[in-house]
Amino acid sequence: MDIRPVAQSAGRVVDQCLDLLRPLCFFRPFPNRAASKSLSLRETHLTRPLASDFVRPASSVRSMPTIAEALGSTPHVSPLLRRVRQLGLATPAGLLRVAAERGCTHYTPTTTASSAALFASPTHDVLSDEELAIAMISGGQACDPALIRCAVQLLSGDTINATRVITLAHQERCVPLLQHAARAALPLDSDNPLWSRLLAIEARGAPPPVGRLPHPSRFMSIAGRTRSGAAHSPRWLKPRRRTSAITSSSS
Amino acid sequence: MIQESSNPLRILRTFDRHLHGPCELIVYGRSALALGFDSAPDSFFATMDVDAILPARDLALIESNDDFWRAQAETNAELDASGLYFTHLFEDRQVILRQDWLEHRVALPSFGLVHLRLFRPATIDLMLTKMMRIDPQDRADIEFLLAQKDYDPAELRIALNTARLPPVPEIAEAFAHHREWLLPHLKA
Repeated sequence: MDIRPVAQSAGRVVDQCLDLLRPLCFFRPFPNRAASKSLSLRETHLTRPLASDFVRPASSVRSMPTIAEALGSTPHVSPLLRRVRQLGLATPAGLLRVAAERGCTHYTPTTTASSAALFASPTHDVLSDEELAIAMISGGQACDPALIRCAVQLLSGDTINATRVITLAHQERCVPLLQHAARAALPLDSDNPLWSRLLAIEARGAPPPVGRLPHPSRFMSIAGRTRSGAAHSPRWLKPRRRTSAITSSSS
Repeated sequence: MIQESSNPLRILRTFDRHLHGPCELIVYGRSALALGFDSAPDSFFATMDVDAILPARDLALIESNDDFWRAQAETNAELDASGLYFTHLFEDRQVILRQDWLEHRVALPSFGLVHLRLFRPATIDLMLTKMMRIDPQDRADIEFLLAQKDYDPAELRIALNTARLPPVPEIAEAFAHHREWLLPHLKA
């Protein structure tokens, strides 16, 4: 039984309740052990879901700027993020959970066990890898380093459609961010045509301010020295594909 | 002269065709310059997308308007192969505008649209929207708008001192840069 329609309706009700209670900045409908440790609401939300991944955090408690704001611009009302919310993925943890299921295990959120049991993740025909990745780095998305790194890892997969990525990147205003990743990727992932195609796009406006985006080393795995004294070469992070990873609801 | 086969009109006609009910849309950016001014150069009509401003007073309605979002998605799906798209929708507080910008908006011609009713911000507000980044194309657009005759330079001078800016330091910096350039161009 597909519980997504029920879950989506429940999520909208919870969403509306939270909007009414927004002035109470530290409202938590479900008590949890983090309450006694004085963690910020955002931190508790990422480590223990308030009401699964379904709940949109109240804007008054959102502590980080959007990606657009971090890069010196303003966020747009994103149709992609709206659709993603309607699929039950209103929070960074939800997006990371789905990405982890699709091979980006490097960024598996701690909510995986609790939320996966409640809500089924959208399949690829409902939300493609390209759309999932761009949703994580849309100009209207929170500037969360984990989301950015995970999106870049997901876009490094060998099934990614570069043309589709570039189209979505223009639509969701994240070309500068992807160009930042592309500059880091080219030396290590040169077989992936996405990076060179991104860098061929003419940049408008100022480049991303230094320090606002993850350092290039954050997109790769860099092991330390071995016992023999040799250092491992950095490895560009790619998603780990399972044989049954790409499924279709029609199959 | 407005080009009937232009990219902005193609996008808007496609969107209009997918709508099932009436919809008001306030376009800005290059598409507003192309559709809102008879003297717009050909290059304005080559823009690949339509930008729109969503007034704060209408946001809740727009958010819940499934017809709008479905039509928007179908528009982008239909135009995907052409590279044209319609996704850059901004709340008015995310754009540099006068406080009372909505009262000064200008109706655009109907262009034979059935459901869509188009507007653009007033010329002064369009100039303000172009002052959010330091970019040669935006500067050229400001120069185009400066050459129009449908605004009062005295009101523009006031707007440059009272415009509402989004709280982003880079935008404030860009605005100050443009303002410093613009003020001497205004007739006393």
